[in-house]
Amino acid sequence: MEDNILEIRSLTKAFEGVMAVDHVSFSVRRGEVHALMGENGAGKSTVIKIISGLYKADSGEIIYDGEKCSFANALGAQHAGISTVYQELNMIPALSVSENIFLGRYPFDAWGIDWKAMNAAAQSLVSDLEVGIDVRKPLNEFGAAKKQIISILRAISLKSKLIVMDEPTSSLDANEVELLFGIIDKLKSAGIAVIFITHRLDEVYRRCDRITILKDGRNEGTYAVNELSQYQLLEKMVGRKSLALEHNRTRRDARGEDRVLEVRNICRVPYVRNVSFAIHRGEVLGLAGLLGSGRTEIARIVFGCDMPDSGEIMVNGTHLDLRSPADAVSRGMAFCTENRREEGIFPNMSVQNNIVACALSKLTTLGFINDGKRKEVSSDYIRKLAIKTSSPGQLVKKLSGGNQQKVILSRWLAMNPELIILDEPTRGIDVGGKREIESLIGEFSLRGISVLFISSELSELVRNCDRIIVLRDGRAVGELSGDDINEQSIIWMIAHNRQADGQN
Amino acid sequence: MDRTEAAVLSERGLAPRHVRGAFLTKYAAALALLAFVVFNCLFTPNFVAWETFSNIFTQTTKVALVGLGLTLVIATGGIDISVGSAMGLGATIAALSLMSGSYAGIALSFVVVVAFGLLAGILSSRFSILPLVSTLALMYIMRGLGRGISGRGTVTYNNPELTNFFITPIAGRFPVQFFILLIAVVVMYLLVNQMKFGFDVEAYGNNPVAARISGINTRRLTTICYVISAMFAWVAGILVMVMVSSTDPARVGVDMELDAIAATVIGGTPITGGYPNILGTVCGAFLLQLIIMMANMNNIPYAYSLMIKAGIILAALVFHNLRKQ
Repeated sequence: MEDNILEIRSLTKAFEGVMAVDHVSFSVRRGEVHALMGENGAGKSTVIKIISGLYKADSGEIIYDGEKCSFANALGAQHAGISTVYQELNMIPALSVSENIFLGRYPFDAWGIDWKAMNAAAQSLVSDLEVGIDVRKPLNEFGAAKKQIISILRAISLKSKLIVMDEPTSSLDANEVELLFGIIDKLKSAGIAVIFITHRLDEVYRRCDRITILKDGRNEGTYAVNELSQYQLLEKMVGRKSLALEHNRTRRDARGEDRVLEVRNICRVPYVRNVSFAIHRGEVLGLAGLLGSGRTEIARIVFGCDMPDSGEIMVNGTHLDLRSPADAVSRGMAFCTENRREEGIFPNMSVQNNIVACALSKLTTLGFINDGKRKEVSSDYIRKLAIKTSSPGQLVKKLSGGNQQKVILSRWLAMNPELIILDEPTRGIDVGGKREIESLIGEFSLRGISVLFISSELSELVRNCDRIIVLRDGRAVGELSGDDINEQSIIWMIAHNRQADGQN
Repeated sequence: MDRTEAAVLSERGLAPRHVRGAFLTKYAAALALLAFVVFNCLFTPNFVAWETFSNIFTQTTKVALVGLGLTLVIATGGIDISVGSAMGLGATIAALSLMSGSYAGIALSFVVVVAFGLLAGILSSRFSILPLVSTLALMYIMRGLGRGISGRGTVTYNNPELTNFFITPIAGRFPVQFFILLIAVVVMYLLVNQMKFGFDVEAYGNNPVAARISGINTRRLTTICYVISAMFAWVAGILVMVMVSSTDPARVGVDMELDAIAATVIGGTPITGGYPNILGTVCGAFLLQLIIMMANMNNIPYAYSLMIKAGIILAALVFHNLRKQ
């Protein structure tokens, strides 16, 4: 019998009929650093939330420290000794470090809160870890890395035996990552186990002992890091073909065509480092890479949502300073974002109005909307994209995810774009919907619309792209085109290009 | 709801559920107003008289006008509590000018009030200052300015032609306010329901991030809403002034922002942003005034009418929230 601090058996959780976590089992040993890997929607955050008591599992068992338990809430898990260090920190910026560490557990004396004792206790925790932190300073005077460490200090003060770290390094630079790794080493030697979530492969291979891989809510196995190559890991995370979709569009070589968009040396540290590429008319260009490799960040820069630190963007051969998405839209660009709900739909507006939102200036005379044209355009797209809605007047929030996605696609198509950026267009959509959206991509290309296609699913990229840029940690590490495009090559490129990691 | 259910409903002559729901949400305030009017016609003595109606119109116009402008701001998810002070400042500048026998100051008062609206818009859209706070500051600035430039309290002028024009009913019966309000409502209704501008406001109120990504110039859009709101406040201030040939800079427009917010909320414009319900706001303004009148005519103390007002606001919020789900 191994010495497990945590054992998870056949954990299952569904949201509105969709299995987010499907019979997941794994165990974490005392004092080990255990990586939980998986792409978007793989179920990592759901698993963590169940472990830390935020969600209740539909079925399955959690055995913690030898006892079967089910936490009523986050506090219950915390008392038992499981702490979570979140990406967006759950701490109070205006309070001091020691107040944050002892939040809700302030020591009292006859006069009220015993500040001296509290500061002293906090200081001793700080000294144990040998980090230079003045515990009386307010939290907001510290950078992201120190805040993470303070959050870890709180976990230690709670006598935690298991600390869950949800992407702790995503916003840290290389030095800060080192600092955090130093802390993790100390936790390890103190026998505290860490569940570590990251999208950076090198961090996994440098600091973690074992890896559990999730894909589509299912367990892909637990491995010791030295048993699993990066290539094998990636294959398990993103590789597997979804069998229902075998269609392959004929690849074309559009490199002789005009350059609709050209990006030169754009940087937005730490997300994007010196990336250059061009998209030609009618070309489907894929951006492949793991979550956090900079693919969405590149799209946001190209569309004027974020400003690059440096670099140049050319649209149809002319240099442009995009200051807002409005600039990009007026240059014929469209952006179907990965977050339908947060960045896409206008929930309380009708399907019809959601469809015409971007094409409106073409449907107005002197500012007045031509209602006949509006109906015509919207019912045209409802028919063409087979959007399932009871009527054009139905509120878009009542539609299923796939149909909402088609509404957003219609919105952009209605403005006649030259270039359309699709960021995870098929996420959360059933197989039928995926097929429809993929065949649309082929149609765009035939109509001379260029597509910048971003997806976590490699098979999807392989099926649809004419050319693929492979990204890793914000850098373009390779390019594939024509018959060279296949999943293995992409995975190989991601796995074998780590010369630039750990540097800034 | 699937197609078959829609088909069944239409065979029975019923609109699909969402259409009926949208109708209720849009016209709830109008229905409530109608119910109140009927109630008063039946039970309030002397209610059914031309004077009562003309009185209600005269009294309601200023709240309705301020509310119309504010509806746009609230539809973007913002708020402007400086509208009452804007009324006071505009009316003070105009009255000072009329006192010295010149009409030019009326134009100046417009420019000043609109400039403050522009400032409110820029503070919230460009500098991301919480509009509740920035317009609170502007509220004090404008009130202070009005009182400062008047120097001596109430500014009274003598201009019989102007006064006569506004207090003489048109066609012997209709108060001028009636037409001003009618024009304002028609313009705003078209702006919101037929024009791209209104569409963009609703879209922005629904989802500011999506609106920005869809290529809407969101900063300009929200700023314009504050400017329009200031314009309406100016009109309301001038209307108050011409009725009495004077302006008390310390009193004109005081608490007006609260009534206007109440009218907007009762009208069904979501306070978190969304569809600007123009007709709703107007009905809300009438409803508020009707409660005061009803209390008056039935000898109910003012204190109670305030509580009825509060009840209506709460009922409206509960109703609109229930509808959302």
